[in-house]
This record gives sequence, structure tokens and C-alpha cells, in this order.
Amino acid sequence: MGLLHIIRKVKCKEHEIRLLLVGLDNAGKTTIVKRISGEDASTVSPTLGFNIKTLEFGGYQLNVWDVGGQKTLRPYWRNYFEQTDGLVWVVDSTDRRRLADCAEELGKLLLEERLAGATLLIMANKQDVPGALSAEAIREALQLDSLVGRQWSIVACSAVNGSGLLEGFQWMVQDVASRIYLLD
Amino acid sequence: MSGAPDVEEEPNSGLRLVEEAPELRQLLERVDGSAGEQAEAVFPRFAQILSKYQEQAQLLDPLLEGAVQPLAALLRAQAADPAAADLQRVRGVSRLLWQLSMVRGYKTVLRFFPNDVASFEPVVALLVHLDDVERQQRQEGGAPRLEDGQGLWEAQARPLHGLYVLLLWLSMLVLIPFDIVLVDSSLGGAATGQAAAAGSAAGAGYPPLVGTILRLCQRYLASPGSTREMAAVVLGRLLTRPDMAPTLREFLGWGCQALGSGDSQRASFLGTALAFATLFKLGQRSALLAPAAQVFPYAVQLLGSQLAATNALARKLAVKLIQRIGLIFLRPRTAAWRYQKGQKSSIVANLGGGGGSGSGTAAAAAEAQQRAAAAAAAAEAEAEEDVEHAEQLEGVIEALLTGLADRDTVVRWSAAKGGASDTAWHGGCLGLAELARRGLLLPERLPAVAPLVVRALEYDVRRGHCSVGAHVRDAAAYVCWAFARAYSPEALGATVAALAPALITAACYDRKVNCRRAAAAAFQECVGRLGAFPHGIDILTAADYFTVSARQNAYLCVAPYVASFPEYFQPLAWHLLRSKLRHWEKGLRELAAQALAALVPHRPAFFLDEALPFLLPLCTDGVLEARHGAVAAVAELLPALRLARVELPADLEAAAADIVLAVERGRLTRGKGGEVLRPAICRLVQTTAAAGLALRDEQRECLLGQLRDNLRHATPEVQAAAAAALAAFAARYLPHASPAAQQQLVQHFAAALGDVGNVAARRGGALALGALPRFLLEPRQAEVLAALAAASVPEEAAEARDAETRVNAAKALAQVALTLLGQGAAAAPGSANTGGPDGADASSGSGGSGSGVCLPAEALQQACDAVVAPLLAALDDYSIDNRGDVGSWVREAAMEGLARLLPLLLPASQAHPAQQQQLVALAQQALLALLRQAVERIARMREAADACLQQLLPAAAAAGVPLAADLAAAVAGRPVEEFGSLEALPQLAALVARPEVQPALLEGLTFSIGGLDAQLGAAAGNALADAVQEQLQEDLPRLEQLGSSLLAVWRRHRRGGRMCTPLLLAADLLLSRTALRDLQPPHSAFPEQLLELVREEVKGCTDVPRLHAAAGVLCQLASLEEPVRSGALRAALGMLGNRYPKVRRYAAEQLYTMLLTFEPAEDGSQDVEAAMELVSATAWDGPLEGVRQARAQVFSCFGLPEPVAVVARPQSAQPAADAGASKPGGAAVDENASYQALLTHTLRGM
Repeated sequence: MGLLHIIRKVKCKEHEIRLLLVGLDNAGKTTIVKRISGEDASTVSPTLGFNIKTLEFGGYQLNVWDVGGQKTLRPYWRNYFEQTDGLVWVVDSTDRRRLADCAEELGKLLLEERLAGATLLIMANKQDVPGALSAEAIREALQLDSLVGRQWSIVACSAVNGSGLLEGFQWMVQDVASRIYLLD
Repeated sequence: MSGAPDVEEEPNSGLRLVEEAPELRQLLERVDGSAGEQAEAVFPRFAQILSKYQEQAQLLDPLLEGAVQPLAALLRAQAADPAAADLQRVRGVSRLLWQLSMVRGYKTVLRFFPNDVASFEPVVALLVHLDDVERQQRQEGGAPRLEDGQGLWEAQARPLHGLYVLLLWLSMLVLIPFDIVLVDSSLGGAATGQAAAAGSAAGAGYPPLVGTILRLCQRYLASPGSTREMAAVVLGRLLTRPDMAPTLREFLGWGCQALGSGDSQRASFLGTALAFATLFKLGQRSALLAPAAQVFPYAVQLLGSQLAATNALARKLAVKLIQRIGLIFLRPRTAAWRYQKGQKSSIVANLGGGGGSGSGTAAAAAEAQQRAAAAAAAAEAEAEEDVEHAEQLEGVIEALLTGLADRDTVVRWSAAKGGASDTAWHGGCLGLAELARRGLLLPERLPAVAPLVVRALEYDVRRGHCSVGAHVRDAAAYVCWAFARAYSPEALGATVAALAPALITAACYDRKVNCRRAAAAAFQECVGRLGAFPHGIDILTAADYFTVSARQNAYLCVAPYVASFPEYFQPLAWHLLRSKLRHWEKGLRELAAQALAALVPHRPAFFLDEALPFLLPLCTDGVLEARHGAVAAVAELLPALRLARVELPADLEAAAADIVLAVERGRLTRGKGGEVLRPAICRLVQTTAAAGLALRDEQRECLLGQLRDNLRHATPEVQAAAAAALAAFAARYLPHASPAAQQQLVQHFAAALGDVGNVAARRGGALALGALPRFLLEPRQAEVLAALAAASVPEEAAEARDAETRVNAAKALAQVALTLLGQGAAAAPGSANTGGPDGADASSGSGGSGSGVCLPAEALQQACDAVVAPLLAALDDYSIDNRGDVGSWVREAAMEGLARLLPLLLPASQAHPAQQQQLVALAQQALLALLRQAVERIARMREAADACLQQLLPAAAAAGVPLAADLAAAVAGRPVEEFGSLEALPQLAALVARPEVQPALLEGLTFSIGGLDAQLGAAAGNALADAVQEQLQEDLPRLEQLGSSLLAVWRRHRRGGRMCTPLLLAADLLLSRTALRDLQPPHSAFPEQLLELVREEVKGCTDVPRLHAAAGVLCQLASLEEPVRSGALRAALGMLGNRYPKVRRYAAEQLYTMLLTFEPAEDGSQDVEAAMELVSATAWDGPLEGVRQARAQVFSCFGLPEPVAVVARPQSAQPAADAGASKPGGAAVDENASYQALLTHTLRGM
């Protein structure tokens, strides 16, 4: 019975789901978090480090880890010992220039051993901006169809007007919960 | 439910899904298919699989439905007609279900039981029936009889599984949403079975079915174990049904009576408390107000009872019950100030949730404590407003607080005094954490709580030889973790500033890995949720779960990094200074000293201004731990400060230089504790010298005196530290000493080597000589080398032998030689060169071979005679004592010495042909010896030999050592592990074709063949036999050469000794599997000479394995040509009469096998058929008398003179026996040493 044991127990008992929100810098991760936690999303500056938010969704406690996107912070993605249940990869749909970069970083992340079982949700963010790539296009650019042995989905969304967020998290929670918790 | 194959993965464990799922399904199908009959047979495997998932039981969830439902259906089928039920099957099936609920928890398993109304009555009926039968059997005589003879414990425990599972099922069935009256068939007119009979007796108020359940459960409340728990659950569920008010009243009356009856009925006591606790947890608050008030006084009484004073379970139950009652009194409400942010949960629901999971009593008590604490706080927070039950509430709070041990409460609420026990601290922390998690701790209280949490994070109390407190520290980390989750950064405010350094200190410097990890986890939670931690992100990148897991890494890598942030430097440094340097664990103090030194680069001034002034007075502290920690820390700080280019102020330098003298004056290295302090003192001397502190004469004398003293100390650790210190000390301070003092020192250590009475002095003397610098050794080199060489040889007298002395001497021998050659580590500055041109500056090019330095002839000659030769001799040290092959340490040291020395000597001898020739010959010997070691028994030695070969071969090849090229080809490109794992063996054995290699290779392989390790023996045997067959087959002259090599080895290890049995085995192997048997008598003398040696070994031998091996060789030889044939046959037949029955039988077996292919003499004088008949028909391990007659007959079959019992004594030992053929009586002694045997033998008329 130590703290680590308690953390594990708490997770199981309180139906906690741990989500890691990652992506390149300026993809809109923090804005998404602010949006879903009902905070003012109009002023967001680059995340230095990370934020943890606890949100309730469909009977589950979501511990959302919003991890900064700057290059220097990327090593921290693999930092925590707690099991990551779901991975939300946020893409700036307007940033065509760095799409290849994005695909490469995602590929690296998915190789992480400790993320092996995690469900993957791709959020094609900033759909409200004219000229944003469609979810289809991003799906191709990231070569999602070639992923083997991983549950994944892609949604088009906009953190600014809130579209698509609900569907995304709904899918994610359902998929994780069906793996982890015995549905009552 | 999900069918996804990858289920939840737990951190730190490889299991991710139930691998045995198909097998489990198969097992269940077997049970299902046999209608439960196979349940018992299946159980062991079933339980084995499940227990694997004990820690990650949720992995089983996808399988539960498929497991529970068919099993429950089987029970249901049996319940259809309880009277006719096959109870064996019921028990078997129940046991499987029981196992499932033990592993996964009954609450989860319960969900899959069918909950149809139709099952209700049959299950009750089956339960009653099973209960009846069990009771009957118990009354009839203990355990129920079982045919398969299971253990008593199991037999007794088994019936309970059935009851447990049926009660479990019932606990769900009682929830049926109909009036039970409707279900009870006995009320329908047709009274059936025992259920109705039992129920009707209860009289009014409730249906008979309920009465049956009530009585049954009441009884089980009194029986210990898991059935009690289940009975309580059933009662709790049943009695809280809205239609059960009368039943509840009755039960309350019964229960209060049970609780009030005092300690006499302790069994039902606990059960009743448990049932009440369950009841109050499950029931409606409003409906239970009156019952709670009724039970409360009894609960308080239970807590204060005699039983509770000694029984943790009773205390736990009492506290739990009081807590639940308290919750009944309270109206749920939500604290307005809670940290919410989307998190919505009812406080009271949280508080009541998930009870009764603690298993061990200590854990249970702790859990109860924490629950109680939560309830207490809830009560306090609300008490003002809740007037309705104010009086009882006060009682509740008081009971809980006293139940928690008041010290505990004091700690928590009035924030006062230490002196509390660790359990109170632990309970307090858990309570705090629970309160915080549920948001019950008022933010105003945080400033009062924070200092306590900081203290708890460092809680460590010495108790006897170890200390307690890890659980407290872990719980304190839990508090921090809970704070981070429960409060907003604003609410926590300044508390964070106090907690952050304490947490990070714990993460870096805690002694226990789980505490370091817990603190790191809590720190991360704080950083993520509260943000405001200075440099939080950078730190937790460095200090995460993985990096803090190894203590060394946490102390020496993580902590120095964290300390590079100014906010954390002071807390970390002061924690080491105040706490870890006086920690009870010696290793930790030493590590802390290093860790402190690792902080120096960040702020050297701190160490001059604060750390050293703090540490120096502690060096002579009265407490051993403080003293040792301080000395160790100063010792580590000196070089670290020097490295940071900081000059010590004069006063500090003087004080540091004076430490040893002060310690000496206080006689602190004597007696108890001295042993602990000594290595630290040595290390201090070493670093003092390295830092070049100015010493007064008196101080210098004192330091040297300490070293000399410690070099005579019995502990190897002390001696090693002293030797290292001596090297530094001598190099720094002795160049300026008088020549007489210098010589006296060398002489002192050389003399100590010969001090046979004092083992420690000898070991230390050798170590010291190895550590001395060149300028001290040179004037007395011949004397030193001779003393070391002598010390590396095992003494004549066994009691004077000491393996460690020889190891140290062999190492020192090589080291001294290297030092003298200018290659030693300690080439003293400014040493007076006494010799001629000596290459003193060659120390930079340590590889040697290409340096082209030429040594004078005398130096080379001395190295050959006084160093290399003794080291080669040390390679023959095979001494053993009760620790095993201690000689191997000496051999290893000698090998390493040779491998370091020869590559220097060989190229340096080019100018001196005589010495070069001698060196090449020695190098050849060394290679042979290394080759031998590389095929011998011990894996470590084989690997070491390979490493040394790799080191030596290039130089040897360059110098033209004959064997070098071939050997290099054999070992080239082989990783060292292959030598350990025997894979390299065949390749080395292939060198057997070279005559000059044969003796060494044969000796090594033979030793392996005769080893205890069968795998090693087989590998060595195969390697040798294959090599001989491949390389030497049909080449008689070279085989002859091999034979004589074997004989040469044998003659070196004649008569007994370690090689004797191995040689016999190897000879057997070579004769049976290789062309060596083609060496036949008229042309070759080999077999005859071999026979002679074998007979010599058998003579008077009492070693059974050796005799077995000899029987094998003799039988091999007996199938060769005359004259070896009859000689060997006589000897082999003689063994049929050996004194050991085992040997006789083994010899007979060998003989029989040999006779199968035996070609009798052409003159027809030998009757092999009859001999074989006799050999196979006689019971050779029977009484000696019969055996002897049979043996005489066998002899006659071969026309050999009988009784020829002469095998064991051919010539020298007993000349009379040699003539035994003609004088029968003389041979009797052979078989039996006793005079009686001789007499009977003679009387038999022989």
C-alpha cells in the first residue's frame, strides 16, 4: 500500500481515463482544453510545460494532460509512469508546410513502448479557418491507414467554434472505456 | 463487454492480456460438459492460471461472463432438487467460483450470477441442505471423509467454498424487486422441505423463507472466515429491503444482545459488528436513524472492550461501525469551497464507497483509521448545524478520535509535538490525504498542516538495526499528491513553497525506491496541476519515475542536476548534511558523502562557508554515525573542492589536516565502531594526500601510523582502503622523509609477509608493497620481490596457508614489477633515481609493444626470475578449502599479472638475446598455462584466461613466441562469453594436434572431464574426442605422441590428488572413442604403461568414483592384445571382489559389456560363455562370501590363476600380495581389512 498502489486503485475505482494531448506547437491543444473545460479560450499563449485538467465525461473522469508542443518539450512526452489510455494528436489543418514534420513526429510517438496500447484520436483542428485541409487529406498525409494494431479515428474540429470536439471525445472515451472498464 | 484483445495494461508489468484465455475456456468446457464432475480435477490448473493475474485482475474481466454463467447454471441445476444434489459436484463447482471471486473480488463476480426470481428458493434450499450435511459431517468426526486423501486443511476448508458461493449468490437474489411473500412457496399452502419447516417456527412478522435465511446467516456470523463476511452481506442486503422492517427489528435485538454479552462470545461478536456495519452502509439514512442510535452504545463498548485491546480486527470493525453510524447521523452536503472544475461527486458517497477491502490486519487498521478520520472531519465540519443528533454526534467524534490513538489526533489537529509513534504519523498522513482528496480539509488549515507534512516526508526513526518510516514518508507523498489534485493553486498558496523542496529532496535522497518514486510522482502532479513550481518542468524531466529508481543515479546524477537551480541547492545540501550523513545505514552515508561532493561545482563557497565548518566538529562527535558521515564527507569534499579550483582557507586546511590526529586522540578507531570509521579515515588520508594538505610532522606520523595499523586490520575492506591511501600518502609525503625511515617502512611490510602467525598482517603487507611507489621499492627491490614470491607459494603446513595472502602477493608481485619498470600508477614526483637508464618516462605509453623502450639486462633478468617464474608457478595453485577452489583466486591474479607484464617485457628485451630467449620461453609457458585455464572447470576462470590471452597474444606474436600465431587464430573473434559457456571449447581442443600443446591442453580438458558438472564434463569430453579423431586418426606416430603426453601428465599427478579420477575418466574416454586404442602392445608401449599407472591408482584406493573410473579403463585395456589383455583382465576381475558392493556391481556391468565383444584365446582355454553367465547371474553386491566363490569361478573360466585378488596391491605396498597367486591366504586382506575376514577366508580352505 504505497502511493503508487493508491494511484492505480484510484484510477480503477473512480473510472479515470488518462489522455495525453499532444501535437506540434501552435496546433491548438491548449485552446481545445480550455474550450472543453469551459474556460476563456481567447487568450492562449504557448504552453511551457504541461497542464493537467480533470474533466468529467459520460461517467468517467478524464485526466487530460496537455503537453506543450515546442520542440524542446518533446522529450517530456514519455515522462510519466502512469498508464496513458488515450492519445489525442492535434493537427493544425492550416499548416501545410509542416505536415510532413507532423507525420514524422506522430510516427515517432507511436513507436513509444509505453504508449503501445493507447487509443489514438487525430483532431484536424482549425477547420474554421478558410483553406484548412480536410480530415480526409490529413488522414492521407499522416498515412493513418497504414497503422497496424491500433484503434484510431480522425475528426475534423475547431477549438474556436467548438465543432467536432464532442464527437472526438465521445469516440475516445467509448473506445478506452470498452477496453478498460467493465460496462455496467 | 469488449472483445478487444488488448486489455488494460498495468504499469511495470509485462502482462497485458490473459494469455491462457483459450485454456481457461477449455477447462470450463470440461467442467460444463461433465455437469460439474470434472470441477475438482480442473481446479489446480484453474487456480494456477488465475493466481498469475492476482495483481491485474481486471484483465480477467472479458472472461468473467463466460466463466461465471455456466458454473452458476451448474449450481442452479443441482439446486433444482436439493435433497438429491450431488454435493461433491456442488463443492467442486463452487470452488472454481470461489477462486474467481478471490482473485477478482466478489463484487465484480457477483454481477454475472443469474438473478431470476425462480432461482431464489432453490438456492436457499440447496444452501440449507449443504449446511445440514456439513454440520452432520462435522459432528460425526471432524473433517468430511475424502477418498483421494487430500490434506486435512484442504479437506476442512473445502466445504466452506460451497456455502460461500451460495451465500454470495443469495446476497443478490434477496434484492428481487417483489415482495418475498410472493416468492415463498411455503405460504402457497404446500409446505415443502426443510426451508418451510425452519421458517414457520419463527412466527409472525415475516415469511418463513426470510426466517430461514436469517437464522442461517446468524449462525455463520459466528464462524470465522469468508463465510462470515458473506453472511453479513446477505443480511445487510436483506434487512435493508423496505419490506423487512419487522425482521430488522428482530435482528437488531438479537445483535445488540450479542454485542452486549461481553467477551465470552467473541466470534459472534465480530460477525455481528460486521453485519451492522454492512447494514448501515447499504441502508437508507432516514430509515436507519433509530437503529443507529440503538446500536451506537454497543459499538462504543466494543471499541473499549478487552477484545479490541488485543485484536486488530475487532478494533477495525468497531471503528468502521462507529464511522458508519456517524454517517447515518449526518446529512450529506457539499462544501462550497471545494476545488471543483468539472469534478462532481457527493462527499458522502465517496466516504461510504468501497468498504472492507483491507486484508492484513495492519492494513485494515490503517484503512479503518483513515476512514474514521474522514468521518470525524465530516462530523466536525457539520456538527454545528446538525442539532438533531448533536449528542450522539459528539459521542461519535470522541470515539473516533480516541480510537485513532489520541497522539494521532494531536498531531493532526493541534499541530503539536513529535514523539508520536510511526503508526500515528502514518495514520495521520493517510487521514490527511483522504480528507484532502474528498475536499474536507479547510484551506485555512493548510498552513498549519504543511510543516507537518514536510516533517513526515523526512520521517525516519531508528529502531534497533534498521529504521522505520518508509510508510510514513510514502504517505506524506500521498498527502502532497492529494493536495495537488484537490486544491486550486490560489488555495494552496504559500504551502507549495514549503512542500516543493521537501518533495524534491525526498525524490532525490530518500533511502527507499518506492518513496523516491512516490515523491517524484507527487512532484509531477504538483507541477502539472499547480504550475507555480520553480523550474518544475526541467526538474521532473530529470527526476522521473525511472531516473530516481536507482539510488546511485538519484544521488549522483539527478540530485546534482536539481541542485543547479538555486532554489533547491540549500535544501538538498542541508538535507545531506543534517540527515543523510548521519543516517543509520553505512552505505547510505558513504553515498551521501559522494553526493555532497557532487554538489560542490554549483556553489563552492557554500562548502567553505557553511558545510565544512558544520562538518569538521562532527568528525569527533560522540555518535558513531555522525562521526563516520562527517569524516566520509570531508574526505570526499577535499578532492571535489580541489577540482573546482578552490583554495581552502588556512584555518580550514589546518582543521582538516588535524582530523585524523583528533580521532586518534579520542581513540575513536578502537573498539566497537572503529571498523566503521577506519575505511573513512583511510579515504580521508588518501584525499588529504591527493589534495596536498600541509601536514606537521606529528600529523604525518599519525596518518602513517593509522595506515600501518589499518593494513593489519582483519577486514579486507579496511585493508584495501588503507593500501589505496598508502599509495597516495607515500607519493605525496614520503619523498622528503629520511632514507632510513623510508627503508624502515619497506622492511616493515616485507617482514609482515613472513609473519605466519598473523594472517591479516600478511595480507596487508602484500597489499602495501603493491601500493608503494618506485622510489621506495627500488633500493630494496630484490628483497621485496623475493618476499612476495615466497608469499605466493602455498605453505607446507596446511594451517599456515592463506589463500588471500597468496592472492595479494601475486597481485603485488606484478604490481611491484610494473612499478619498478616505471609503469606503475604511482610514479612519485621528484623521486631519486638510483638505477641507470630505466625508462621512467614510459608510463604514458602503457600499451608497451610499440614504445621501443629497452630495459637493461639485469632488470630483465630480475623480472624473469623473480616475477614471471613465480607467477607461472602460482598458476599451479589448486588449493581448496571449505570455500571451494580458493586457488582459483591466486591463479586469476597470476594470469592477470602475466598478461600485464609480458607485453611490456617482450619488446623491451630486443637488445639482450639471452634474456629475450628466456622471456620467449616463459611467454610460451604462460600461453600454455593460459590455454589450460581456458578449458578448465570454472567459467569465470575460462573467461579471465581468454581476456588475458587477448591481452598477451599480440605482443607474444610480435616477439616470435612459437605458439602465439596458432593460439591467436583459435581465440580470435570469439566473444569472452563463449569461453564461459563452453562454445569455444572445440576450437581450443583442436590444438591437440600440436605436441607441445598436448600436456597443457590434456591437463585442462581432463580436469574438466572429471568435474562435477555433467554438462561441462560432456562438453570437454566431446571436444577432446572429436579433436583427436579428426586430427590424429590413422597417424600412429602422432597418436603415440599423444599417448606419451597423457602419460607424462599422469606421472606429474601420480597417486591420488585432484587429477586422479579425471585422468582415469579421460583415459577411458580416449580408449573407447578415439583411435588411441589402435596403439597395440607389440608396437606400442603405451597400453602397458597405462595399465601400470591404473593399477597403481587402484591400489588401496577407497574412493568409489575413482574405482568406477578405473573399472572402465581396465575393461577397455582388457580388450587389447596380450600381454596387456590378461593383465588388465586380472585387475578387472579382481575388482569383482572389492570391499564396496557398489564397485563390485559396477565392475561386473563393465565386464559384461566388455565380454560381449571379447575374443577368447585361440587355444580354447577360455570359456567366455560360462564367464558371462557367471558375471550376469551373480548378485555381486550381495554378501562378500558368495561373491568371492563366484569370482574364483570366473577366474577359472579364463584360465587365470585364482584367486587373484592382487589388483589393488601389485608390488610395493605389500609384496606378499603380489605373489598371491601361489599363496592364496595372503590375498585376503585385499577385500577386508579386518582380521576376522582374513580368518574366515583362510578357513574356507583356500
